[in-house]
Order: sequence, then structure tokens, then C-alpha cells
Amino acid sequence: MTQTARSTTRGRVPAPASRILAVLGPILVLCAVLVGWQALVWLRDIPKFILPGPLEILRSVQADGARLQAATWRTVAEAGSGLGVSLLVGFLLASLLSQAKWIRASFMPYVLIFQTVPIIGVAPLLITWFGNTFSTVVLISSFISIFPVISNTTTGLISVDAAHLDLFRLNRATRWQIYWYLQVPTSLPLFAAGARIAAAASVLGACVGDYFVGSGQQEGLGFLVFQAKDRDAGLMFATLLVLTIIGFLFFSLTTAICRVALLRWEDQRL
Amino acid sequence: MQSPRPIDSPASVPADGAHANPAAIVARNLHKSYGDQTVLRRIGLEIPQGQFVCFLGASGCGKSTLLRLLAGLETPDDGAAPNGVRPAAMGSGGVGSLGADEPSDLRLESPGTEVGGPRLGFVFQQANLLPWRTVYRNIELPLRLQGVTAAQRRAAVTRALAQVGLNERDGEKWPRMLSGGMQMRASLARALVTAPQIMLLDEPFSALDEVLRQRLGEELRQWHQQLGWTTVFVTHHVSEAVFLADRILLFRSLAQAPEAESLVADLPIQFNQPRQAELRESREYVETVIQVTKRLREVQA
Repeated sequence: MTQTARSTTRGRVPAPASRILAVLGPILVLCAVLVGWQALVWLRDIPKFILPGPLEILRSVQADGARLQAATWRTVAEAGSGLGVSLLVGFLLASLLSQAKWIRASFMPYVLIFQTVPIIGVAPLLITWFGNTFSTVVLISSFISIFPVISNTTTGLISVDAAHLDLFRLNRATRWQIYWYLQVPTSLPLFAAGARIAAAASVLGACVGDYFVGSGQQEGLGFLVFQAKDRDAGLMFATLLVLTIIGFLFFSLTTAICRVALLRWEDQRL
Repeated sequence: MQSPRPIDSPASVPADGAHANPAAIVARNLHKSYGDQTVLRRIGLEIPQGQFVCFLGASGCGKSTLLRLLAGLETPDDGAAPNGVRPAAMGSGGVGSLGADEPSDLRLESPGTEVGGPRLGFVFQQANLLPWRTVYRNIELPLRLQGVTAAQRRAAVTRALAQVGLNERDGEKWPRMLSGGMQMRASLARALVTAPQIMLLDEPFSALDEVLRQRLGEELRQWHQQLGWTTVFVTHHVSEAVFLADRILLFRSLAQAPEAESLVADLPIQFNQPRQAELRESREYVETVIQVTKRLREVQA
């Protein structure tokens, strides 16, 4: 137990008892919900196509495990690629927008309008253009997740501390040096916040993409939900559960990476 | 403004009269205003090399603004900037009523000065360290921006750390892990890592406690002598100014005196003993503090 070492580096380390509670509490709540849910289904005799119990969902997972697994990997790959594209392209676009006021004034309205375009309406169009492919789903996923990256990062890049900027001007820094050594690091906390929102949105986008692309080459979770809706309610619930877990993992993983890789210097209250 | 113009008579003659050293900083007839509000009027001064000058005055009297003009962070109303670094194109509004005055001039010089003027060090009111760089990498930053090689950077930063009393392990820390005093030491190290000839300090110790402020003042005065700086130090503490300065320039706020000049007095400060902690207990020091304070009260009345 390295408790003493830790508490010297950070003052907010919870006591061991409350750390156990932080893990045990949610597990207990989950158990209670599952038991209550199953009891409700049994006692009220609810048909399984309306509300399958946890045991029924488990049975479906066992029966269709391979199919669920394949769809899961596909959706994870789509959402992961979509997130990667929106982080990269979003950061580059924000860098362009941050270069001058006139660029922001000219392009920001279109970025905002772009954000309000309903993806449900655009997705079929994208499929017409680019086909029923993996890349199209990646495109839809990044389409839906790029906005928070652009808007947060742009704000971050232009919110440079005046005294910090003075320091660079005193040393006659070039525009590129100011961008790389000052604007980019300044923007990272806001970029990280945008990335976390984008992470959750990218899974949603991949799901929407799956749904429209269907089983063109190989089905993703979004299509599986749609397929299972009428035939196997247990599988549908299982798919929803997996989607939720993926979304949560994407969010948590992005948060963790941002903390470790980008924000070591911060007080880490992200 | 490629070639420096000859200086005839600065509006304010240096206090110690015929000083031996050539001028490091020459300003003539500088004005600065923000919109309708004039912050500095008819600034003329000449600071010889090696002198320690304190700008003293109440808050809002423009002393920090003058320091920023010297550093090239602000442009005077008619656009003159140190050594003509910037084109004279900015802010034509403020000097309209004073248009008949002689042209303004601002030059920083040093022996063997290369193109671009003497090397400047600048210390901010806050430590102003970049939180995402370790202390070491903060101190290294000016050299990196100037394209100095890694080996030279390493040597210079190590020297600067030792100079300000920080060790290698402090260098590895993030700024937030340091106390206020140590952050200011890191900030000083960053200013002196480029081996400046002119050191400009903008109320650097005002956020520190009295004991620490005195100790850093003593060290600063030593560095000034050892490293051969020309130093300009902005403060509103009379005792601090008297301890540090060879010469105090008193500033007045223009808010109540719309037509007055900003610089009201040029006071030489000389002691018969070295600028060390003991000086603060001497009679001549205490008397000087009282005199300067009296003068400051008159100015502000």
C-alpha cells in the first residue's frame, strides 16, 4: 500500500474506506436493479418481446455471441476511426480558424450551420455518394463528432494569456513559434474537453451509420439493434447494453489519455 | 528610423551630472495615451550603462507603461519604438495637441551591440511561467525561441538555475509545485538566461512577503553589479526603491494634472556602505526613505 507516498503528492486522496465504497456502491446498485427487473418480469408476467428480463438477455448473448461480437468490433472500429478523423481534422480546422479574426468571421457561421444539419437526413445522401462501406460510416461518425472539437479548440487557441504572449513577443518569437509553443498548449485543456464530448458522439454516429448502411458488407451494432427489434428482444437489449458500454469506454478512455498525455501539468480536475 | 539621431538635450538631465558611462537608454519626448486618456506625457530620460534606476509612483501613473515602451511591448503615440524596430505607423490620435513638440525618440544601446539592439531581460509582475513546461523548460524557452543549440541551452539554463539559487531537481518540477518565491526565482532565471545587457523589472516582488522581497532585492542588486546590467525596476514601495536604486525617477498620475509632465523628479541615491541587508538599519538609509516618501507625498498631493 503506497498510501503515504500518494497522500504527500496529492491532498485529495480519499480514505481507503471511501475508495472501497466508490467501487462497491455502484455494483450493489446494479445488482439491485437487475434483481428488481427480473422480479418485475416474472411477477407481472411481461411478454419478452416487450421487456425481456436480464436472464433472457443473457440467454440471447450466449445464443448469438459470435454475431454480437463481430458487430461490436465493427462498430468500435468505425467509431474509433470516426473519432480519430474528427480529432485530427477538427484540430487542423481550428488551427486555421485561430489564425485571423477575418477567417473566423468568414467561416464560423458555416461551421455552426454545418453543426445544425440533421445527420439522419444527410446519412442516406452520404451513402448514395460513397456507397455502403466502412468509410461511409466513419464519415458519418466524424460528421457528428467534429463540432465540439472545432469549437472548443478554436476557443482554446485564441484564449492565450496576454502576459504569456508578451513573453513571446519579448523574445521575438515567430508566428509559428507562438502557435506551437503557446497557442497549442493553451488550447489543450479545452481540446481535451471537446475530445471527451466527441468520443461519446462518435459512437452515436457509428450507430447511426450502421443503421443506414445495413449489412452491405458486414453489420455493425446499429444495424443489429434494428434487425433484432422484432425478432429477438433479448438480443436487442444486449446490443443496446454493448453500445452503452462502448460509449462509456470511449469517454473514459479519452479522458484518461487526455489526463496522462496532455495535461500532466494541470491540477487534473478534468 | 534607420540611423540614430544625435541627442541634443534630454528633457530630464541625469542626476549624477557628467557620468562617465555612455547612455544605455535614451528617451525623448515620449507620449502614450489610450483613447482619450493620456498615460505618459513628455517623457525624457537618459540612463547610463550600469545604472540601477527605479521608477517610483502611485498605481496608474504610467511607470509600468514606460517600462513596456522600453521593452518594445507598447508603441508610443507617434510610433517610435526602440531602435526603430517597428515602423512608425501606429496611434496617431494622442499627440495632436502637442504636434509642435520636438520629435520623439527612444533608443536602447550597449557596447558591441549587434543588429536588433542590446539583449533585454524582462521580469513580469507575476512569475508568468508557462504551466505546461517544467521549470527547466520555462527557463530554456527564450533560448529555444532564439534558435540556440541544445548544448548551449543546457549550459545556460544550468548556470541560470544556480545563479538564482534553484537546484536541478527544482528544474524538473512543474511551476505549480513551487512556492511563490521560488516561482519568482524561476522567472528571474528565465530573464537572465539570455545574458541580458539591460534588465527591466515590472514590480516583480510585489506579491511576495516582506522578508522574501528584501532578500530577493539584495540578491538582485548583487546580480546587477556582477553581471553588469543596466537595470530599470518599477515599484511603488519607497523603501524598496531606495535600497535598490542609484537613481529614483518619480512619476505623477496625469488624471488630476491634465497638462503636466509624467516625470516630476530625478533623485540620485548614494550611500557610503554597500547595498546589503545591513544598509536597511543605517541612519542614512532611513533618512533617505523619509525624504523620498515626503517628496512622493508632495507629488501626489
